Amino acid sequence: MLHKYSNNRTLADNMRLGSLTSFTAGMINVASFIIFLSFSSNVTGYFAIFAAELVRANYYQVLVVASWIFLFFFGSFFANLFVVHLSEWNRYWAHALPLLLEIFCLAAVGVYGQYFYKETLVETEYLLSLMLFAMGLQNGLTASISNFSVKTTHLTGATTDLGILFSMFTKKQFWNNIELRNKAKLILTIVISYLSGAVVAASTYRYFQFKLFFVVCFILVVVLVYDLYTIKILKYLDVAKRRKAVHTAEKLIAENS
Amino acid sequence: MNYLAGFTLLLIAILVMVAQLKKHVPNPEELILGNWTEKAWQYEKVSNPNELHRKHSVDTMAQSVKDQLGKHLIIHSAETWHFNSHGKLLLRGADTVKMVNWKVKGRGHILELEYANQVIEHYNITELTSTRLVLNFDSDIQVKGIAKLTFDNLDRVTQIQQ
Repeated sequence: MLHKYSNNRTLADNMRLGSLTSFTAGMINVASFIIFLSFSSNVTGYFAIFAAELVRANYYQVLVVASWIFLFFFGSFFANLFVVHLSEWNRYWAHALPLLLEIFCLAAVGVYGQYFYKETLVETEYLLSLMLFAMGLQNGLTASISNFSVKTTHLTGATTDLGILFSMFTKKQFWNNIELRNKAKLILTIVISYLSGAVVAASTYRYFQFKLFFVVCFILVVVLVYDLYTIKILKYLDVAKRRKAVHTAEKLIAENS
Repeated sequence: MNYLAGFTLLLIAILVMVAQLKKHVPNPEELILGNWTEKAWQYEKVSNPNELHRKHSVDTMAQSVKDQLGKHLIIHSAETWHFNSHGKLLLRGADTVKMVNWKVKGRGHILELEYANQVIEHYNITELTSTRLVLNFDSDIQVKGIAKLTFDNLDRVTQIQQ
């Protein structure tokens, strides 16, 4: 899911990454709406709110919203910073570090919310800031490593693309185009996963409360570990294959001599 | 490497600047403290065009208007609201006094009131200055629409009068 980059990624890689991360984004967004009455996985609405509050001279809200938008941007900046600067050293860790940082942010929200949160406005603002930064990290990372084909924290672009693709499918030549069909499959997977995450969060929040963030962290850990696991298996298989080749070569040499 | 350090420092500087600026702007949680007296209960929007006349009600403080707009809400019997810093709100009516918990949520645009029986009501803070508070809420018991509740800050008004 994480160690492949750009055009080397298969549809299956993108679908696995897209479905798991959009599921968590859906959960985070609904949880933040229920708890804090504000969204945390997209910023389009905040641009409109920023303008409206600016006109109404509500400067406190202007600054709060500006910092949220900026933190989402900062998250995306940070995620791609790791990808751009660390990929030559170790591609897996360059892709995994933003995710680790995201897990840390969301775990911090979960721990603080569960054990220390007194529902003051300042606490709400800081917890939402952490969540928007985390969502910026996630969106930046998935978009960056998938050559902009996996964006998981908001569905505006996905809905637009689906509309375009579905209209194209009214022509047989496009319907038979595997690339377009794969794109539609990927987007539909992301949309369904996001929606499922949102429904799961909305229906279980009452029981889990802030512990819901630990569930999200667990899913993200699965994304991290899945790759470590597959890399280990691939390495093991590679070593086994090489050993077998050496053994066969040795056997042949022995036979010839 | 210089570019990286420069960019990162610039972004952190912007974040610190926004945080510093926020300290100089009044916080809604502080602005709302004190005594507020109800000035008007009005319909701002109605869903049914036949109910448009309700938007132009003359007596905006009549109990009948308050009952119509917010009978399902506990606040409808109050006349003055006292927000204290411990998160308690005292709702004083003509012959009633109620104590509820209050919190400001979202980006400072939602007022949450929680009653003893854990009933929670949310109001949109449309305007909040040192002298005026405007709350909006959905009114859907008799006439569907958005209701508007306007307050004057009693402490400020008294100060100005003196």
